[in-house]
Amino acid sequence: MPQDPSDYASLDNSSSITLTELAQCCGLSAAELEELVDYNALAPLAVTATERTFSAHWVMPLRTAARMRLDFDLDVFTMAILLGQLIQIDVLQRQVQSLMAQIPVHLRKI
Amino acid sequence: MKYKDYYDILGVPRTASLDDIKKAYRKLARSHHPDMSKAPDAEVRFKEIGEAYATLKDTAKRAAYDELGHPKPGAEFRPPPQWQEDFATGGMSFEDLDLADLLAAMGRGQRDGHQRAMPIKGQDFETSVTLTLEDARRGTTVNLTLADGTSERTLQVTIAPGASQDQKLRLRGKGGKGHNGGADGDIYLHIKLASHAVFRPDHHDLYFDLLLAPWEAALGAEVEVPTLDKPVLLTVPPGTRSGRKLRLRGRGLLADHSDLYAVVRIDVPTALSPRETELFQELAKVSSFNPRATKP
Repeated sequence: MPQDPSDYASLDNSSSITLTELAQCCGLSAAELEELVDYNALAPLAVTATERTFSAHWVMPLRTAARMRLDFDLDVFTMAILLGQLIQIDVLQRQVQSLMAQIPVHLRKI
Repeated sequence: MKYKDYYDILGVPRTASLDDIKKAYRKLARSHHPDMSKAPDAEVRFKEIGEAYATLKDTAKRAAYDELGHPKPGAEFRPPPQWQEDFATGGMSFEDLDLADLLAAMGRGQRDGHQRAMPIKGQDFETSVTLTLEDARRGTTVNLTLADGTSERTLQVTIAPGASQDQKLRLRGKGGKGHNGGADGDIYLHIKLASHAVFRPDHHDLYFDLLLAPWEAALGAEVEVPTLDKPVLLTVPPGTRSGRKLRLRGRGLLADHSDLYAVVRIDVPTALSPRETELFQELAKVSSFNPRATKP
């Protein structure tokens, strides 16, 4: 039986995720995520009565940063810097993609 | 059980300090990380380096490892009797484990037979699927093949209409099975869009090049243009310049919420008939248009 769209979440700004779940997705502890928030590397959406929530767009860059942290034995502060750079790369890649879509084909052969 | 010389793998002496071990690991990790090295054995080598570091950076694991003495790498050895007592609980045999498993188990508290095994989350899978633009607009069902340990399984996923480039989906709990009461893993699905002969996606919008003859651009025209569904008539307003974007509302990847843009490019005939030449010459004589004149 196929997984319906209701069985999955799109990891973008349209959905949110709790701190506990984000920690589980990324293999980080809640305390490590809080530390990333303290460094302004990670921005919560809101603090509910029970816990913080985040935009789901953080999941993939955080997973990448957490994997690199393990692979290179980095500390949380270095991971915070890395996360910022990963997000920046993602934003720039989207901008390039957007510009490439709008530029006529004959002008793209540089 | 085969012995591995973790000091040799990291290229440090057996007396190396934790700082030296860390430095050696980082240096090797930088050169052998599969994202950075193109060597065919990069992944294996990186795993080996990681295994060595996981043991030597941990004081207790390093001490236990040092207890083994210094056999030749690859030589068969028997772990000390105390290890047998500590680890081989619950019917687990040393034959089922290798040195890395055994040392990793120390970190999970399994050396003390009285402790309960910690819950371990099931494996997460990251996989990608490439959709045609038509499938992205209309929605489709894809089959994901997942290598779950030694077996393979297939999971069908219905992608809703309106998928976009680099969209990421999380299928919670559909990854590997958890152990000791740990949660099942997730699947992270990365959607990519196949390149199209005509259309170029920008998030949910689409762009394509619309070639116009000079008179169509100057006088305006109704031209048939392609869309992902069926061709439609597009009105080109008089005086349309090259580079102008003409919008077809609701014809992007997310119906009703995204658009298709025709990017105008004015083309000219490369060979003219005598009559065409005559008409262009006539136009050149009567027209006051100068595209290089300074615009206010």
